Amino acid sequence: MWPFRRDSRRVRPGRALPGSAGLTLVEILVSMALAVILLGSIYYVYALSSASYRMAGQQLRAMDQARFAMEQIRRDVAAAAFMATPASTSDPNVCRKPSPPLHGIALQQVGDVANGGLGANDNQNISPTAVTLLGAWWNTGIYVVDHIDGLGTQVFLRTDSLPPRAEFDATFVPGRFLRVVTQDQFELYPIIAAADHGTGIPTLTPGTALPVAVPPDSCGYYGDGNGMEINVVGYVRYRIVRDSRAGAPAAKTDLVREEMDNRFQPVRGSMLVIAEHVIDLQFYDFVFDSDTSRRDPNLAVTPLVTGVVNGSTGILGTNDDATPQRLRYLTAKVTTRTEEEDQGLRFAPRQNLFAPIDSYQVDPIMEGAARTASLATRIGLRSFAVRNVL
Amino acid sequence: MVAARKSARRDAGFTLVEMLVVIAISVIGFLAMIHLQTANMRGTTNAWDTVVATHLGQHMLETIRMEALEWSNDTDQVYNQAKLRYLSPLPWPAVNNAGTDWLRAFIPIDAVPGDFLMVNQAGALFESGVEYDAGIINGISTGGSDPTFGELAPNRNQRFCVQYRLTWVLANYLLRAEVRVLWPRQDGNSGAWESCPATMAANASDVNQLTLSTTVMRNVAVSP
Repeated sequence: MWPFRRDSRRVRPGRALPGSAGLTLVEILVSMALAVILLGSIYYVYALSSASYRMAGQQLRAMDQARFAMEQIRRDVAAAAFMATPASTSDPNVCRKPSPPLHGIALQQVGDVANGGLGANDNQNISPTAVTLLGAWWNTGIYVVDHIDGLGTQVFLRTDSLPPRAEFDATFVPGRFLRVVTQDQFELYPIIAAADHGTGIPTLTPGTALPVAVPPDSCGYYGDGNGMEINVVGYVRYRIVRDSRAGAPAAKTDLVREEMDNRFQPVRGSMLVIAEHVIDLQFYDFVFDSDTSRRDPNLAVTPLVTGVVNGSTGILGTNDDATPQRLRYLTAKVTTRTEEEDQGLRFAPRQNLFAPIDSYQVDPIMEGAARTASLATRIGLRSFAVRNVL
Repeated sequence: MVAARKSARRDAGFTLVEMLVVIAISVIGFLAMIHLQTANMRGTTNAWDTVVATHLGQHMLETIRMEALEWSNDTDQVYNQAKLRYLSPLPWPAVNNAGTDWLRAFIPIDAVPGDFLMVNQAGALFESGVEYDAGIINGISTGGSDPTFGELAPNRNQRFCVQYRLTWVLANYLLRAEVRVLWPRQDGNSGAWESCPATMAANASDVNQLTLSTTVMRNVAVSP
């Protein structure tokens, strides 16, 4: 009678139905133990592989950053002194010596990011070097002078040589140098004080006014300067800075490229992040040519950066008596790190300034260290070699 | 009766054989995952080694290019090509299409037979006491034990063999320069290749390699 089923398998008190015997406690415990072991091992493998996948991805990104940084530095170092001078003091083509003198390349020890970690003694012996390069970074165009005013401070461009406003404004920026090639092929490096596209005139700072050539001193322009060629050069600097942008993790350091004015001071607002999580930039194996005959190379190596720069002094320093013109090539090395620490990597502080960087401490409280990637390559200074200024 | 026997069978749980099969299958699965993992890590390392090898090759090419800028001999003067560290093995006077065999790019200053000739990613030779010659005639006198010399000192990175070859394209004017970087595979027998033997290039199963090439011209821009 519905709802009760009347069949042979009637419920009898005290006896389980056939086929519904269930599991005993022991069986459940054993199966649970097995399941826990199984799931645990699956989770272990999963955690291991996901951590290693994560770290592999970060390592690849670190390598990518190093590669990109190296590419940028290579391109700019190789173009140093192009359409400019390796060293104005020694360059016979530069007849009025600018003060301070121009350096095709200059190195600086910048100590503020020596210790990127948060702890007092982390990441010791890391001291990145900054490199400042002179060149035509913004525009390799050559413009033709129509005439120069009586004071020598206003350079009127020929109307057919006047670039469009955007190009003009991006090129003739106050603080940069105007490289003027005189009718006698001498070079003058006045400093741009102002520029106005409307009149087509870059105005020069009075102290660097263009001189009139008065024979026998042919250093200057003849007539009204008509027909002289000019281009714009200036400094850019690569260095490593702490990332101070909002939201940036603590202890993050980046490689930046920034414009420098004629006194080696950074130009505000010109900083561009080239690569992130860069912890070291080094230069070594400086190859100088001491040949004075221009036909018999005599190359010698200065292996360490301490041999060419000490603070601002030295052959490749930013000081006035630096003599970088004989530099032929150098080796650059960039080191980047992973964004996060690898829990499995033990941090070992660098023992000296020149040891390989194998690990990097980001957070001293956490176990582990960030992995690093280093890339080194030689870069030749072509303009230096071709000019061969003694 | 039949139904009851069937259900009894169904309740019997797994047999040992069934459990073994299950375990075997899961072990195979785990092994596959671990294998994938190691392959992944090897791939990462391999990618990095390739990047480093490329830069080492470019390092060499750049050295040769820069040396070519120093090579400015003219017809009216005898040029001291012996001073050109990398170009000097070329046959002089030059003949079109003649050139050198594969040469070692990094040589110890005091070339002792049997020295390790592999270099690290900074171009430093692997062997304590052997100096990196930077490719130029004058060596560096600092020993490998000098603590200030560590930038170029051996480290735990992958080791590479760097070789180069030069061929005249236009005699005494234009050269083809090839640079070959070889390094043992991760699972390869790296110990066998430490002296960078000539047989290395032919052993593709144990050795990775890449070749870069460029042409270099005599520097005609410098007038004597």
